[in-house]
Amino acid sequence: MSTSRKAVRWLEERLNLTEIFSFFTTFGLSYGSIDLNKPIEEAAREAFTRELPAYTRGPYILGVLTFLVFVFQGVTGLMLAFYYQPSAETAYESTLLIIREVNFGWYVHQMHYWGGNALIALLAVRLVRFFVHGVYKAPRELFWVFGVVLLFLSVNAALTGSLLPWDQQSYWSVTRGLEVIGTLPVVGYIASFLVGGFDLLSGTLLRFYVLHIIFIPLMMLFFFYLHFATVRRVGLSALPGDQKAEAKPLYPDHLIQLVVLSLILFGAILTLGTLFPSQFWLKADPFTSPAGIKPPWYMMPAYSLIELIPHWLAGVILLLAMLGLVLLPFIERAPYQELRKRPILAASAAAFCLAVAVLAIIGYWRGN
Amino acid sequence: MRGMRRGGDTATRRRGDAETLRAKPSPRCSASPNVSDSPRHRVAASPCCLFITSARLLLLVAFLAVGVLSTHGQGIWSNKAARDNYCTVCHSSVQVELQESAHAREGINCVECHGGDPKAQTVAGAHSTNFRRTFDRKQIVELCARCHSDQSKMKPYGIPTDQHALYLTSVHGQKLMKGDSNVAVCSDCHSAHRVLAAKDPKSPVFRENIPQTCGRCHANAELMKPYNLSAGIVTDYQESAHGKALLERHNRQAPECTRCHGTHGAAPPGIGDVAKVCGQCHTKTLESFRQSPHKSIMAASGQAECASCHSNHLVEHASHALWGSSCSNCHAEASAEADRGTKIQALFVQAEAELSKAKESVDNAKRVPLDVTDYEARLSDALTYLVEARPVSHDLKVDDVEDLTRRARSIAQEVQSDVHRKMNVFGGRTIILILVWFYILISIAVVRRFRRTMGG
Repeated sequence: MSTSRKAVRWLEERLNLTEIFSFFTTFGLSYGSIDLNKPIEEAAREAFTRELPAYTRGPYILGVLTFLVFVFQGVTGLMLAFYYQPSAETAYESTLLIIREVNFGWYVHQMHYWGGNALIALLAVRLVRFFVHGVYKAPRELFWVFGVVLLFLSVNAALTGSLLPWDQQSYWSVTRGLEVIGTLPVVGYIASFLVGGFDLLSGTLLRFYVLHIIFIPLMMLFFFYLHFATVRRVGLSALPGDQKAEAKPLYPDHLIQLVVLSLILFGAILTLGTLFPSQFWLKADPFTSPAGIKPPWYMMPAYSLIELIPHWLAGVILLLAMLGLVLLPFIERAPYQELRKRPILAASAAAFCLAVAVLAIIGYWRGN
Repeated sequence: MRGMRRGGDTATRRRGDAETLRAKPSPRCSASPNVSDSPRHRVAASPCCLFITSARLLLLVAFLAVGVLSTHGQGIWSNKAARDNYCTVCHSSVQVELQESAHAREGINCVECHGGDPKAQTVAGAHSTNFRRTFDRKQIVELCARCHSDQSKMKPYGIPTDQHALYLTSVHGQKLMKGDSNVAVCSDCHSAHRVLAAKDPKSPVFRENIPQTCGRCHANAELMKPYNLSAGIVTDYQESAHGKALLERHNRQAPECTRCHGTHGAAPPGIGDVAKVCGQCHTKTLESFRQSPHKSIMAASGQAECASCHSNHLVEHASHALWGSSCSNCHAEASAEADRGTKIQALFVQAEAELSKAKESVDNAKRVPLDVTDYEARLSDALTYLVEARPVSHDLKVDDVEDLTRRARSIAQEVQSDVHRKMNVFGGRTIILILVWFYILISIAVVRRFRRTMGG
């Protein structure tokens, strides 16, 4: 018997390794249940050789990829947290220390920044896929709801995180972002309560830090768990053509596909961080608003809307749009998955996307 | 102090009056104290006593009313000066001006200058004792000097008492003494009744208001014509580096008219004195200028030193272009002197270009962001050398200028080189990126190969 097997057996006599393995597979690694009474080797072999439909590959594993980016954010965020000091007096200096003095601190900072943007982008792309492929049809309504909630949470994670460097860009950009949230009926009050008003002071920075590193990540983890639990209950959705595809085992087919995609994603984030590093401005000055400050890109359409029409009206429109987005599976109940069979909804979605794009362009144009 | 003393005297007098009123009852009432003690006689004496008691009560009410009003500072009797001054009943508009003045605050009233009786309640009475309605312009100067040349009166306020003497030495004063009544007298600058302290921003002699105050006469072409003076000097000043510093950037260290011409002893600086006047602020420049050949030549040829190149009122921000343009005003273009000017200009231009490039590098590094604190400090040193070279250049020694500008240039070049080196480290990130992608692609290839092997 090899030494590694001996070590596993020794551990297994003292720890339920199968239970630990089962815990990790709840986050999308394996779609089937695991018998906790079996030894780890047998349980793992069973999980890895379990055949999965071919359609779970490619764009269909966006959920797992998103979760991997979330974990990546957690790891890089933890590394940054070792040096970051969340107070108005020290935040800027500690960020400078990270990006100038700490070994690979610059890389970690840039990759965390671009990782956050990638998380929002992946969640948005995932929702688009859900919409186009009609994934939210019964009994998978919760796929959509959890996806939208995760998108909102990731936007909030990015917004709270972008204040932390405490430079002019982050300070005033977040101020613009909070102006958007402040217009939302009810939600605006709740957000105001959470951040302690919309004036960005030292206390706000600490609250944002706590939201960014504890509250929002825990909420996201919870919703990821709910999402994968839903997948295990109702299975993945497939288009009629896909169901004919040949089933393949998790290992090596699906797992290798996941490794390849993860490597490409890591490379893409690193490329963005290196070629388009986030700019670092002077220390935040609440009394000097620099020219040309725009809200974060994911808030630009909403900010543009509140600039164009009265705030209360913009707030109502934005809230209705958000509610409509969350409740889409319960509003649109046609039994077809294919988009071509849902022309009215497709036209509405196209109009919505066009409006968002136009508002974003107006926002950038006005800002410049 | 004076006002307080006067106020104190009046209060004592008023208290004394009230006590006198209480202590000296009417003789008619006090003729027989014994009789008035009896109830019968008290009743019998009541019409007379009632009248006196009522009068006392009325007087008391009047005093209380005046006291309350003066305490709250409301109404026309609000201050001591006005209370004793019936002049304001007719001359209310003057009263408004006077009330704001530094004089009124110290209890100086109409009577101090105009005489008359301010307590009189008739026009004839008020305009009686030593009353002087108006003054000719010479009298105005003498009138102001009566107090302002008195050391005992001015000492508590720290106001110099040589103002009158200085004024008599000024061009204004000398012309006035010769009978020219068009020249400025005290009230033209300080105003007649609304005399405000010079530190009051509303005062016409507040530093930032002085160009406008002088300009009231000196920008008037008609008024300046007989004196053969240009009426454009105030506009020139406003356009000058000094004028912009004072009037636009509110830099109160910048000179206005009086800083060069004097205040009360206002006179244009003489030909040989221009450098001394400018040198009051530009000390280092004056020091270098005195070592230059220009000093003696200009004194001999009667040229106005600094003003020859920099102009007098329209002093522009001194740029290095002056070295190229102003030398040829006196020297032939191909002369050794003009060549020297061109050399000095070239030294400045080179140093500024290097500094500008270094600053651009540092700004680029800052955006990365790299730590540029040290570079900024070194650039600040370089800039100090360049700034130091500017006054030194007035000695016209190329070597002196070269020494300082070379130091500025070399620091700027060092900074550029260091920043470039540091930026190259940043450029190394692209190489790292390429290596990481190479590793990723190799890994993908290995994994796919492994998968094919497994499948096979």
